[in-house]
Amino acid sequence: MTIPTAPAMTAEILLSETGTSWIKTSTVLRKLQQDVPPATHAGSSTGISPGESLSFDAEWLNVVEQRILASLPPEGYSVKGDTAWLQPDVASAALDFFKRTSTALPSEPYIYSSQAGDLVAEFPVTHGKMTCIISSKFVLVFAVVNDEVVQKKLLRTPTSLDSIRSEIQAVTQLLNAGTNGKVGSKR
Amino acid sequence: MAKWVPNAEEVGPGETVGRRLFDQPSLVGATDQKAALRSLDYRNFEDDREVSLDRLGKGNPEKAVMRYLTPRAEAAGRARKPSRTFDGWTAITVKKLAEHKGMKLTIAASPIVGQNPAEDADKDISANKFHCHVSGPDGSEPYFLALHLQMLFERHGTLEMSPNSSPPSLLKKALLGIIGIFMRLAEKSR
Repeated sequence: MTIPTAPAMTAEILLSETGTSWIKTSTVLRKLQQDVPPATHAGSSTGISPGESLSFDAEWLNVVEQRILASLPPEGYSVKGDTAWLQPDVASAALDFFKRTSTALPSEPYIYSSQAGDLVAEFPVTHGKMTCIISSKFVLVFAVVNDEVVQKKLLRTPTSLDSIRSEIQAVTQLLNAGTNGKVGSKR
Repeated sequence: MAKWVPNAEEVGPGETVGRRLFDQPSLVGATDQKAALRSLDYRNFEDDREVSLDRLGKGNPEKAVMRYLTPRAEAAGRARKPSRTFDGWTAITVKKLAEHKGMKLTIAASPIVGQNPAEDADKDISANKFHCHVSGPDGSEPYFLALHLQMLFERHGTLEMSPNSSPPSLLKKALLGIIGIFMRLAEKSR
């Protein structure tokens, strides 16, 4: 069976009565809104019943997706300058970003909209944090590891999310290693 | 004590500079989130290639200077759309900014001449003789400049309340005190 893939699409495995099948969710944000399950902090489960979904995402992903979707402005509302709402194209980019990278990120993000309209995601770690700024065109990554600044501007293209995930995973590993080293050296 | 008169040509390394803090809304769908202690909102550092600062004192922040600056900061908050409440400053020494290795930062004096020169200079709130700005190297991304500043103020900065704003609630005072203690402890542990 060929697994359908397409840029900016998300996929999840559903176990049905007849077996495993791939379901594509729409790239259209309104459709995504219907597809994201209600927010839960459910951890991993070992027994999977028919109809139950099998998730390979971080356990906080659903909650963050819900926060993003609930921050979309009402139809026709101009969000320019109002950081209480997210621009739909930025929300779409952020949903895509988190879906693809959640397990490579260090922790549940604290999210808000920048004045410029991008999504700011701050990931606290034991001795600092990593910040990502997500726009429809790029992702910025910023972290301080052992007093060294790591900063990257990663351009988004239809096929770049895998490489963005790898870059982020590398920063997360540096952060974890840096934190462990610091703790170890104090002992 | 007479108010400090800053050098209009350059900013001294021993001076304290502050970035104005304004209230920032949560996302409508994310009001259940809790910001980490010691964190400063990135939006407070978003600007352009040059980020505006106030010179708060020749050494430590001076109350007379902050009294002069407060109506200007409050007016700046009111001028925003939607309007914002001025919540004081996050303050740091120029030396700490200048010695930062992650990005070369340049701090320059840039006093603002008022639009009503006939008025008493201190009463003209369009003027700011304590204004300065910080910039990164040529061609640096404003996003990264803001992120560097956010990190530096979080790690090395203090919080300064406006001396002539309405008295903060006990809860707000307690919270600011706790955050200040954490910031100092974090600074000492480095």
